[in-house]
Amino acid sequence: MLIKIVLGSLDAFRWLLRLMGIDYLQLRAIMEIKLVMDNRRPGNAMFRIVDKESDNVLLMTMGFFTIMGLIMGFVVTLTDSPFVAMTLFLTFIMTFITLTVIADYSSVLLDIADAPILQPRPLDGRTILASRLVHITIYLLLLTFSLAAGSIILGSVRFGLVTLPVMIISLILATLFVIVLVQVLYSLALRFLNAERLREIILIIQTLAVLVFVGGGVVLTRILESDVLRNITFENRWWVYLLPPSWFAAPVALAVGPVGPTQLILSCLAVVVPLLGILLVVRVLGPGFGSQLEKLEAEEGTSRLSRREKSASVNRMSGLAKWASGIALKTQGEKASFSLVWKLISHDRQYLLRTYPMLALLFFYLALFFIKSDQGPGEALGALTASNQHLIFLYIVAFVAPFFITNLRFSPVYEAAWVFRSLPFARPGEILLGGLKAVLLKYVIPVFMLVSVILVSLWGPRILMDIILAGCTGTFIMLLYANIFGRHYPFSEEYKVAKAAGRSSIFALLFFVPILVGITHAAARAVFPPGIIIGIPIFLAIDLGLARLYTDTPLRMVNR
Amino acid sequence: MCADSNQPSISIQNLVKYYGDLKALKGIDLVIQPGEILGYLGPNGAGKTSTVKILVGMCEEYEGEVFVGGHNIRTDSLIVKQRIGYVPESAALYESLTPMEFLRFIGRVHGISDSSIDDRAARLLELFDLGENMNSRMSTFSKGMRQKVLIISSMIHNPDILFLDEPLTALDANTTLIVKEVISGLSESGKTIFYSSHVMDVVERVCHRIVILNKGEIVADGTFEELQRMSKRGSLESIFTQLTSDESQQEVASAVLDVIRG
Repeated sequence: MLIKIVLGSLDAFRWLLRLMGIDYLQLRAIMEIKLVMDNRRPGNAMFRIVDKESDNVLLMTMGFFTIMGLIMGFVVTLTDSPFVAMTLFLTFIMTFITLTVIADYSSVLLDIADAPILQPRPLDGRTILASRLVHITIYLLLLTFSLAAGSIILGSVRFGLVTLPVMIISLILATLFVIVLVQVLYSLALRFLNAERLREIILIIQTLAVLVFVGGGVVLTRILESDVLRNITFENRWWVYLLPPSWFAAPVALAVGPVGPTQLILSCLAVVVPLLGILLVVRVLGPGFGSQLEKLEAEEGTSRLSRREKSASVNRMSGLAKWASGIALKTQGEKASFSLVWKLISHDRQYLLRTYPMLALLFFYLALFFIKSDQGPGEALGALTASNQHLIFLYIVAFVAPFFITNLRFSPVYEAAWVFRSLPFARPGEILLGGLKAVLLKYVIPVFMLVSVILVSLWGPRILMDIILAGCTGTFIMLLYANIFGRHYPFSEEYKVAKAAGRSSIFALLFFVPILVGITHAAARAVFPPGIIIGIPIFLAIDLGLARLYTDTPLRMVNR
Repeated sequence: MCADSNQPSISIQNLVKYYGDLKALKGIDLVIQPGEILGYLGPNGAGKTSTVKILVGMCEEYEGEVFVGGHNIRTDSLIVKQRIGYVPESAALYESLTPMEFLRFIGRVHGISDSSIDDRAARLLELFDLGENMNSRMSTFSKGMRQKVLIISSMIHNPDILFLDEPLTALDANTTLIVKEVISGLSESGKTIFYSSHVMDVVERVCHRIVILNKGEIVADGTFEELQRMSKRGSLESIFTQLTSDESQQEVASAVLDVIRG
């Protein structure tokens, strides 16, 4: 049904697509199967930011973005100049969708998985490239308009109903512009970078996207509180020409009333650049697109070879980690799974994708606390270190750490876990424990240490006991998660299994465990300080018990 | 659309292919006539799949000249691709589609009308014993069932030249027999078949001409009878081992056994 509507509206642009040198019927056939497949895909991969455990990911994401966009929309009401308002609003939207394209849609643009299906067929490079661009455009327009819905309504109330159609067209053009921009960036990147480097860069940008996502909201509330915006004008500065959001804001100003030559020129740019850009991208970059992807594929092959030489240095553990693992690992089974998991969690893109943003978030929150207050930085720090807010940092770590464990069991090549199932182990605990230790040594302990060092250097040694107790309670929280969600062989499941309905509600419930433990800790510090010292042996004992429970995981629980 | 009978179906001149520094194909020369079934043999890593990928236009980075159906694959790849069919080595399919949907897609890409493609697809699926699974998703299919869909998708547009890379993988004996008969029938009606495999007895029985590749070079080229004269023992297997390996397989096997037994 929805697919029919989308394809129907695509038909309306038949002439334009033919003009780009595309075989329209082939394009339509590709689009149809792509949309059918998206529809069937469990946990719509298009929207990875929110894809956790729901079936209606698309709807949920759109609802989420609509709410976010509504908050955003108030910017529009803060200034009297429609040009300034629209520029600000478009800057936010365009930044966001640019990052989203790079983060979530690069898999569509740079997909080489279906090369063996499409390449031997009589398809032109242009048609394949166009099919990918159209595929992304469809989803991106949905996203843009959910984000913009609030602002469009508020804007048309404030600046007059005339602006409504203009805003809609402006947004479509802005979306096209973003797609052109990203495709050009990728073409350049593919020419100058190898596949592996490109993937690393994408990973960094994906992490950035999460930051902008969270950070944008925070910064925005700050802006809303201030009066800076009310009097700002920048119509006549030369740099507006270099700021693409202002191009797409200009037509709206044009619709409201008489404007200067600047906005006229900007409006022309808004129309000409995206349309010409998309035409040029398909016509010029299209023919070579197939061979660029082929290069990517070939490099995947060769980089695997060269990685073997490189991996020696990448995977080598630091002396400290080696020493620690020497102490921590007892049996051969533990050692085997430890070194396997250690290597995989350093490389596996999907694992890194799900965990790195959490790390980034952690440090983002840390930074946030220091810029939060309205006082000067020195003053703020003084106030902060006098408080007991170090506990918040410690428990953010405890909050983030379980993600590293619960994600351990997912892998795109989950079939390889047959190797564990075929092993003659009566108790799979060794394997599980080895994996857990690898995660601890590789990510959790270093992060905890780093945070602890920062905190002690700011707060002084008086918080040492808090850190030790938080270490024990953090371990408790992680072992709790491990016992409930981590009784699976590492990398043994496809990600979609996480959708199992009942599990998600337990997961949501457990979200509160770190918060509860943290609050208890803070209460003890405030009301009954010796409780902190007493708490340490108590939690240590619980930890040991939970670790034993985890080691004794019965085989039938793991072999599912 | 039938190929001109005076012109070779496939003509390869001094084909060289590099992967990084590795020279995978070291100057292949090969001419195949219409109606021929060519068996393309070689040990693992000899360059069989690389050759096939270049011939079907999946790989544009090579040196030398390659003509398929009289057209240069580098410059006229769309014309060539319209006339060829290909069974890839790995079962590449859109698994969340049903076989009917997938075949309809393939048909549309080749510009065949929906009614004609639906009719052909349904009949072929029925014949390959997939009638009942015609509208279920291929993600639930076994390896053999997927292979059947791949084979159908390579032939449904009635191509002049077929490239088959290990086409019988995971197929049961009955289906194998059907596919072999179909291949022979196609060749009788003038179609060319490029059959890449390392399953000897099928190649021995089906192919008119056998080419053996070793380390990126052709080491033998002829009918089975011609190849037989080159070897003391008569089976294709022994000819193959003699041409592509320096070591005695018995010696290697006994060394392996030594290691295992400790």
